[in-house]
Amino acid sequence: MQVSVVTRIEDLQKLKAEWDDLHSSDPDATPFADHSWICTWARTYLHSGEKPRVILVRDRERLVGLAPLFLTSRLGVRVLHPLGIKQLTGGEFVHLLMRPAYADAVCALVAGALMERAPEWDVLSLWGIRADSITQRVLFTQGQGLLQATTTITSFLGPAPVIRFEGGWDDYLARRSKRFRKHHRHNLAACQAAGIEVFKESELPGHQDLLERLIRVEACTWQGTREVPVLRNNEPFFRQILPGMVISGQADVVWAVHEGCPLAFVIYLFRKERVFLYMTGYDSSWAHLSPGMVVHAWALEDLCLGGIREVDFIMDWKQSSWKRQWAGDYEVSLNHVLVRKSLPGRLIGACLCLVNKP
Amino acid sequence: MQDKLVTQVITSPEGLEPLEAPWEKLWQRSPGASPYDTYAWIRSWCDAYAGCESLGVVVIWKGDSLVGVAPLYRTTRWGMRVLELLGLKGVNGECVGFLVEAGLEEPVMNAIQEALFDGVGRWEALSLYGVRSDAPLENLLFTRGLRLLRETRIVTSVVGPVPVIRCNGSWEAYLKGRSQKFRSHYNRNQTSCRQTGITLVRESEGTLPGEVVERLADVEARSWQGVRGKPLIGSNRPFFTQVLPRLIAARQAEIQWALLSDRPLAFSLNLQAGERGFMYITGYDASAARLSVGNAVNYAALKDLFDSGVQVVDYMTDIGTNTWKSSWTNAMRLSLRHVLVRKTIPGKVVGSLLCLTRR
Repeated sequence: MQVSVVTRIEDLQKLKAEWDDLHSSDPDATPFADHSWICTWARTYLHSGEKPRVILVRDRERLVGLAPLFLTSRLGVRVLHPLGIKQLTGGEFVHLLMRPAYADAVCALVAGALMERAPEWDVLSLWGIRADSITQRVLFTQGQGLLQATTTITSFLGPAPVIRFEGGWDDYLARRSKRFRKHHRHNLAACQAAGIEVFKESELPGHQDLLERLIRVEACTWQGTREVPVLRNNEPFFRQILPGMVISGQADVVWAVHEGCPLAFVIYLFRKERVFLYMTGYDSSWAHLSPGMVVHAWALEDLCLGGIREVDFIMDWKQSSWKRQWAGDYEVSLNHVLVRKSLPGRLIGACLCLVNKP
Repeated sequence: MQDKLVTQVITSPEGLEPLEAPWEKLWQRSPGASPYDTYAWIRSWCDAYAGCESLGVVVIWKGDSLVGVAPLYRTTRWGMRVLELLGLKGVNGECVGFLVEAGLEEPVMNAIQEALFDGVGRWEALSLYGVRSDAPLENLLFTRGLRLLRETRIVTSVVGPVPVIRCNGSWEAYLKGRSQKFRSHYNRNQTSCRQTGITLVRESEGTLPGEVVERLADVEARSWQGVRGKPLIGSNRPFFTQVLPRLIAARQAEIQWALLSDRPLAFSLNLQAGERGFMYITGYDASAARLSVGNAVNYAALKDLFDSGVQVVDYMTDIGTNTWKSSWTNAMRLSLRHVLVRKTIPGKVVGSLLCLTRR
């Protein structure tokens, strides 16, 4: 098996075919580790001082694993981060990509490469690792050299609420609380009476103005008015990635519309039989009709009927209680920061322990 | 109606007394339980060492059935209040975990966590030492330990690699998988034992006179540990006197002796939990080193473990002094120390100090 390190974005782009093949064979792979997502993100956000450090593991010629990282510097400290996360909400959960049969070997080789082939770092940040993922398991069972040279500081990012559709849609609803079901029925009836229509973006011809429509709704949401509008602030990234994902069937948007005017949306990303509810927003002036609830209900029913078995609400950073109403289960999302046992590394570790943020 | 979970916190060794039978039953049902979290080991350790410490053993009941145990005690380090696992300090203990009834992981972990925050008194750090990276505790902590994760930060360091043997078949198949050098050493060792009249005897056969701990301590005193280091058994006689007969009776421990004219020259003390064996300690009379009696008892002990259906043999954490272990083993796992520091000022200080030290 051979290990190599890609350090230029142009070289990353050439890996598309084999990256896609590897991505499709990894049961833990998420849309956030997709080649298009990572490359688009790298082109959009990496500045001149930041370089990819994507570690590739090949068995003969075949790509069997990779670690998508980049090197950056903060206050003079060299930090390795996963690609595809920073700046984006919900861009968590970028794991090592690996073919299951090679998981142990890939992790051991990546850990070795981080010490020998790409050693110019003081801190390695692994953000959004799911506690029950293969990456979590192999990191602590196979990453011997890496773990021995570092101290790991683990913070809890939040529970990621998850729906597992064990039966059909009716079965799912039956497992919700009585209050939830009543609210659900009431919302649907109220929206119908008010003439609100719900449909999928993929049913529309062309998606040229998709981002404009999303940003228009986002501007009227509480995120848009009181917090950071994620879509607007990251328009170049989403403009490049989202329409293409809808066309290729990797993403869809469910809209609630009143007389042609969008009121609410939910963006979801597909990964085989698993779906990630990436972002949602509703015009807060229509809050009395809960159009956000309606698009969610519509999307979930559609996904369930379409054979999706698992819906991941993505890390619940703000502990949003509404997600827990929908989801019956959760996964734990962790941030592992590995600090070297060098003097700068130890100082960083000590500082990290003193602050409250993960 | 389903029984609710009831939590109890035991604060004295005597309080453990009524738990013996239910603890052993739970131990049998807990996936991944080790000999170090048997009632006998923990109780003996408490009697020997925890006199002046305050126990904080969290036990969870479901009706009459014990469904969870977190064997902890409170101590003070650098003026900070620390919760530590019982059964480790002084006796090279490892692999102590929480015992949790299979199928009840989530409610039992929730109950244990509630007790840790509300029932055992204040603490700044919870130290989980010697946890195997593939142990059930690892999974319980990271997937079901929501409150612990939320209210603490975890500082993890590697205690050391743990050489292990994965027994994929018989003793003969294991030997075949070893190097030529290892096999020829084994053959020479067998021949030399026969020629010099060394006999190998299992303690459980009851063929040796005298108190077992005294015999172990006697050989250990003549071994390099006894001569140059700190003898483990000799320094902890009260603990081993209490625990060993109980473990041997329960077939959770076994001692292989090498005898020359009925005089013990070497021993290998191993522990067993279901399909997992642990090579706990070996000692040999240094004056008989040329006969490789230490290897002889280890070969015999290992063969016995294979014969009794053990699937994994754990050689305990190798902190760099036992390079011989790697020639016997065919895999490796890691022994970790997780320190969960609270997000209070003293907790943060503990976390920072942990990061600043090299150990």
